[in-house]
Amino acid sequence: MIAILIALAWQNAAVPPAGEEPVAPYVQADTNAGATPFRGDAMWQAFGGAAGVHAIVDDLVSTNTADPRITDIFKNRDLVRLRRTLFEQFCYILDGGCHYSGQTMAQSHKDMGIQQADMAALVENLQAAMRRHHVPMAAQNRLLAKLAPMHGKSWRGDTGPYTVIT
Amino acid sequence: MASVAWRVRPAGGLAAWAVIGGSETRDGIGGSAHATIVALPDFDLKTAGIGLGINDSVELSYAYQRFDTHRAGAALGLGRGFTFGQHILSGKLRIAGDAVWEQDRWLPQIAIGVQHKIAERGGVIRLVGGRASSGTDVYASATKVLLAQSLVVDATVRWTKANQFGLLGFGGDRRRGRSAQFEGSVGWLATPSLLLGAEVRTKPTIWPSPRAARDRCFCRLGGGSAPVCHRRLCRPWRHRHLPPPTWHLSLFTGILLT
Repeated sequence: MIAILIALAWQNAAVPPAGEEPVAPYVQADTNAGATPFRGDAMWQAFGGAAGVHAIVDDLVSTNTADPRITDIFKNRDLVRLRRTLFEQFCYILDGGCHYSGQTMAQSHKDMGIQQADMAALVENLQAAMRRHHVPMAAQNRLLAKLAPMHGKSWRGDTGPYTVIT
Repeated sequence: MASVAWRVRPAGGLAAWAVIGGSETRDGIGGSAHATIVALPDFDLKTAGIGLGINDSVELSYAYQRFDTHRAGAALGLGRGFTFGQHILSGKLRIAGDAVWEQDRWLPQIAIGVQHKIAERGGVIRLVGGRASSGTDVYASATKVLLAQSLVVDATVRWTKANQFGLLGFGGDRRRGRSAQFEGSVGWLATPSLLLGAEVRTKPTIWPSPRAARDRCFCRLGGGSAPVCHRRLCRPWRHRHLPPPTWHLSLFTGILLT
């Protein structure tokens, strides 16, 4: 079974989605998203469904790349893949019916030298994006409560199941 | 986050919190400034201070607090607009937990702190029955941001002998030593930058006994801070000299800045 999963992962890695660069093989699982999903569709509706979450993710990625505090972290990154996996992660956590196909937070942020100040900047940008797309304050905070524990240990060089988002 | 949540700090209120000001992260040193005004018809209390946070684990700060008695000062025979001030030197050490980031744990952020307060107006303090014009508080504080509920909650135990935060000195006829007092607050994150809340705080009952107060009614402040005593001064003082409250409940708002 594990062999099949690994084979599938290899296969996925071998043929990346359109516009994306190849990624070294890894095992795909929803648990890689790093948070348990909400139940019911209230959160998904609060975020405006698929259209709303796509708009927030696009806004967040472009705000981050333009933010002088953290722009360097996004240099030479595959932003097409980032937008797709970030959408999947949010969609999965908000119970929008998606599966998360990305890496774990520890894998995807390895060796980026991310510090807590970078995380704080990122959260600020996410709050601004959610505000611009009219997500109610209570729903914003509920999502942030899911994401905050991902503050993780990877940027400190420890190992752990969680690390930063995006 | 420009928001509370990630750089939460008590921008309002009088109670101590466990969060470390100035440095929002584990990786740096930062400064902070704050100001609080409690304005009421009969008096107001203003506090302003600066702080230094180190690696989100140590905070050193200085504050100056001024209590303006307005009309209450006239009623107490101190003179309208009589002010009490005090300097507060503080140190705080975070010992466990994370108020903001660890939303998957109930463990609050816990800090211990000391506040050394030096009150001005030593003459008045002795006149009204305070034993000393400086004193040190020790406290332990637990703070948690309940992000999913958009709430900030705090509970603090303070060992103190301060009369009215120390503005009226430390210790008194009834009690010399410290006693444990409670401070609790709940705030609602109304927007990413606005906190609305309420706090309750108990204060020690170390005010002078009624008899001691009556004995002192012969005295008032002279030109300097030395009391001038005369029987004729008794009447206004005796009737107006009510014991100060041993607890208070107040509402606060905080503007949370990046």
